[in-house]
Amino acid sequence: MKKNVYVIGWVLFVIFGFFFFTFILTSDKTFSKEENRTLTQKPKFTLTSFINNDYQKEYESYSSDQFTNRSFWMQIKTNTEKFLGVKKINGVYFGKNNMLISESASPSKDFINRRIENILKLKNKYNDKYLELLLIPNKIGIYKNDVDYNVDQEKLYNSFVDSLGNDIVKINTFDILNKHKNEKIFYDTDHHWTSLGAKYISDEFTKSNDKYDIYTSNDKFVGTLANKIAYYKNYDEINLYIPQNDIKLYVEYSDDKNIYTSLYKLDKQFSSSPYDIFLGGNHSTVSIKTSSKNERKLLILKDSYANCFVPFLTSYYSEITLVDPRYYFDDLDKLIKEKEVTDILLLYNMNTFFEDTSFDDLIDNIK
Amino acid sequence: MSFNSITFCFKFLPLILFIYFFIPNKIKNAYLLVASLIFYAFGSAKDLGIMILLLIYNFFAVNKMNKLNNRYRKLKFLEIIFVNVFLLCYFKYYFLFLDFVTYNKEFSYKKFLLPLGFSFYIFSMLSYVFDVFRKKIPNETNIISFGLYITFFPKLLMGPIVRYEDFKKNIENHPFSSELFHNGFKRFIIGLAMKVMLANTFLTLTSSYQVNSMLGAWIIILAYAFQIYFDFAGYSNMAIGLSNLFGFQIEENFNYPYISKSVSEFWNRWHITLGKWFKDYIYIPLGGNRTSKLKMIRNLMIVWILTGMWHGASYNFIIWGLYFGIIVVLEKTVFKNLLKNVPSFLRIILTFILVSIGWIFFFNNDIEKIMIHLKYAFDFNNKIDTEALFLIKNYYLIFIIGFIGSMPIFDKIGTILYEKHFVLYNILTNIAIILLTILSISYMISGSYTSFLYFNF
Repeated sequence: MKKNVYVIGWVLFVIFGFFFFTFILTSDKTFSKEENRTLTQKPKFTLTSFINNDYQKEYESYSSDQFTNRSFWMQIKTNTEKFLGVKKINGVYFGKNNMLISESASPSKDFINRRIENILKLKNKYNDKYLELLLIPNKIGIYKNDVDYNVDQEKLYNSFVDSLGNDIVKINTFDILNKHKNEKIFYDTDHHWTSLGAKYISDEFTKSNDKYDIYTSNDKFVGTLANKIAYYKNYDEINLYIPQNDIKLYVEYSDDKNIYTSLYKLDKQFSSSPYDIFLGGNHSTVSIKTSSKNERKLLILKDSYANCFVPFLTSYYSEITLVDPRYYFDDLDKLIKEKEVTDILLLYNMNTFFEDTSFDDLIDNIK
Repeated sequence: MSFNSITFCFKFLPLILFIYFFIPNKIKNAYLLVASLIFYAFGSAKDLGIMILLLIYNFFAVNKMNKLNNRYRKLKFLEIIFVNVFLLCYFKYYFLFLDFVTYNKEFSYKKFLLPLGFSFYIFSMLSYVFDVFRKKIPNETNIISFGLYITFFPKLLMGPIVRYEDFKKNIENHPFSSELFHNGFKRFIIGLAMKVMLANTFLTLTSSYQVNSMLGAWIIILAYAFQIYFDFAGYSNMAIGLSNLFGFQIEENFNYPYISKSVSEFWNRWHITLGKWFKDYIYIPLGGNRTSKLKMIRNLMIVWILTGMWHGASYNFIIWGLYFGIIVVLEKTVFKNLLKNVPSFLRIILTFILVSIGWIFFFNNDIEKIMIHLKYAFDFNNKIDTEALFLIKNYYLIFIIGFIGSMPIFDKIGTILYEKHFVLYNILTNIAIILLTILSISYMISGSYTSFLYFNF
């Protein structure tokens, strides 16, 4: 005779009850290091917010944010989907050897036309100055054969450079990085390039082959892409390239009253975004005075790819000013005159370059 | 609060269930009624008032109706029907009507939304009113029992649409049963997994791709078919499972619709309780198929237009209803004899294709989008695009799982195992359920897992 044993119902009841009690017994967290964001706190109950359903929505977001070990659950989900053959999760592709690759931006024709117009405007306005654009491919451009479907960044790059004309883009970054694609020119787990990648481009840019001492600042670096999908198979190393010369630096940030003598902020070394060790992350402006004998003064319009590029430039300019158009809302023309800028460098990775419009907004405001 | 929210699963449900076990039997129904109202308020607090008012109105009006005779009884009946139907139409179609009369004119107005679950709510109510009027059942004199019938939270928002006759037995007697509790929890997990693992994954697929080729059009059609099945059948599983936890047994709503051999059969297997509602309260009172063939066609078309309209207040749902109406009429008339000679598996495939094409009308609320999708679906000059190929590479296993999950394959294997290897059957199902629980939680959490990346660029 078959006798049914009714266990599973009680087991499930205990599991559900267990999570109920973890909510009650554990205190709420305010910040998630993995997600790099503040977590929703318990909403205040008011009749109005309850009637509007705002309270309920907020409460669900609170319940979900305070669920125990979110990152662990997300890891299960990502690994399940990967097991089921899913090749792209939340815009992140799995490349070879667990390299994580973010999908490419795909700009519209209007976007590209506006960008070209603005760069030409910059060129004409400051035709007495040296102007160069370094457009850096992303992993998806260099390792395109490792993923199944994507926007072809190299095609995008070439057609953009073609329509811009040849005198603004002087270095084919694709060619250089492709030559070194078997080296660690990008982090496996992060969307940035490494200092090594930056060095290969800067060697070409400064037409030199300087010697550097290499220090590893963090050998357990877990980058943004790994955190985005909670996929922790690889670690990266953040290497700092310190020039073998005695150039002195005075670094000023727009959002910090202190003056620093280094390009590295060591307190970020093991923070939730360790890449911020380079210049402490993004700021509206950073101004770097150097003891270099070279008279030239450089302005860089940039995104965060420039942050690990600057260390390779310090002996070639007496002053380097970084402007991040996403946070900079002042008069650029005035700044250029004040700083007596002689060289302008636009340094962007393709994903930001073809997605973010703050560059255009900034140039639009120049008369 | 949806069943697949963290708040429901790990706060509301354990708490409600735990208390339920310890309160005296006498107050269990009242307790469930209060719990259901709290559940509703957590979904949409502003609509709670109208729902309760309507409930009280119907309760007293029906009792009053039953005290009247003949003509007055009928008048009272018409009044109740009018109030319910009017409110449903008002909330549901007022803006469709406004859109229609102000077409191409400058006119703006503030939209209000249909109260949460209103269509299901009114249909339960109407079924009770009809049945009492036809003296199929006596009127309910206990407002708690009536209130619980209407608001019982497992079925409140999305059905199944239960008849009072069937529900009444549960209200009177729903003792704790190990078997029901055990099966109910199992079913809840299966439903949850269908919703969060499959339906949501197919949703990600359909919303990530703009149809751009014939292949792409059919991938999306297939994904629609699985998405809505796992969404709705998953929800019904959760609803039935939850009812069982409290000792209630309610009607099935799905019975493997995608193995139907005709579209008519499909509608006997898909959202079964809605189909029955239309059959019992519209089709048969209109005369059904008992009079002339022409009248039968008329009746079928009325039912199908109403079915379409019931699903939503935009034109695409009317088209969707008409589409099925026409197919069902053709099946019952022109092709009746022809279909008998077609092999079963061909009929299953044909039915699946017809139903799937129907989902295009269901998912796109814009005529233009529907036309574009249909154009691509039959565009033999533009067969493949690379993005669609990527979708296949990316999701082929998920599609296979979707296919297996919507067929009675596991059921069949389960029955054989149960008969022949009982112990193995128990071990396997329990492991599977625990695994599904863990996976479902991880999928639920992932929905809100967002790592902020932008500021790092």
